[in-house]
Amino acid sequence: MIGEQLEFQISQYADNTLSAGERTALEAELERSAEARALLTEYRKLDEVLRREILVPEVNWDRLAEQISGAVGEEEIPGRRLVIGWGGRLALAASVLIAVGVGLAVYMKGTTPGAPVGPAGVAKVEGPSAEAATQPALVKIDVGPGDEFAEAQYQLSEGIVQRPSSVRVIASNEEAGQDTHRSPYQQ
Amino acid sequence: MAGNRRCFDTLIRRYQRQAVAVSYRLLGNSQDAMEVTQDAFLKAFTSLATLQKPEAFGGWLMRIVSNLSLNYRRGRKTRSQLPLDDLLGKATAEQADVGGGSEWMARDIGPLHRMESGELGSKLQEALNQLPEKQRLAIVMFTIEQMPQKDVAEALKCSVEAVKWHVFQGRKKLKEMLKEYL
Repeated sequence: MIGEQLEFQISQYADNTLSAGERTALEAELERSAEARALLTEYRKLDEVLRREILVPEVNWDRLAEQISGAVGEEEIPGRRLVIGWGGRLALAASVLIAVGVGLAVYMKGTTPGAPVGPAGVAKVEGPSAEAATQPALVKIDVGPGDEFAEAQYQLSEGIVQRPSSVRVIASNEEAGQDTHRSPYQQ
Repeated sequence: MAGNRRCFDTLIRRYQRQAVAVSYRLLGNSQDAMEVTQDAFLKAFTSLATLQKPEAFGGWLMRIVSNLSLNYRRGRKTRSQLPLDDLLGKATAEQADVGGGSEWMARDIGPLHRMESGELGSKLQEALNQLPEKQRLAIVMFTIEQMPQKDVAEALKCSVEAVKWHVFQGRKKLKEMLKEYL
């Protein structure tokens, strides 16, 4: 009676997958045991029958290859995926950097003092129309330099020259609360 | 390799016979086997990015083929996207007898005819179908198709030692089932 371990070894021997040492040991056993030799013969015969009787159908392999290749091509078109290697990734990163740099340069140039700036856009705003006056205006306020300061200049700080604004009351029913003809810088 | 059609065409030519053979031995029908083979190559092409070791392509493809074949057996679904039927030639009476001939099938259909009509071939196929899945795949890929053990291990997602064991167990069962024919 052959044990399962020996039977397993005979199966591997038939497949020629035993190590050299195992092979030598099994060959000694095969010489001793007729039962082991009979089992090896059965396994070899089984393999031979399997390979001989279950054959692959005769196929026009060239045509099948073309058919499969065509199907793969059809699969490729709608679902084409972009596979980018390291070189491609570097090139992509460089392109992004260049695009950002160019965009930044254009932006900086547009905000440089003195540079001609075109209109950013025109917005048309429509609101309520002006109401017609029903009585004379009580107060008229002018914003700008007073008469005595019209020609004068005041040094507020080095490099900056500015004329102070003034407020003039042209007409009012009330007493003026502010001396509009005095410079705000006079004591 | 991913996305390289010309390279993939080389793989198609190298592995199509093995793919058809494995699928055929699992399905027992040449038309289904070719359909599954085409599906397997399509799946392999779209999944190439997931293949870690390019040298394992053969085993990986056979895993796809065997999975699709076994699913096909379970479902026997009908597919309309493949134009296989369009390529079918006018079957001769003899071809029709042996399972619907195709222009893909060579004129000499002797081996197929022998296999499908022979009693021993039928008994072998029947016995193979009764084996547990892993044992059947191991016998088909290693013993019959004589694929390298490491490729079979890749296809079965197991170790080489496990492949040897599956082959041994399958062989024992086949020997028992076919003892009157051996």
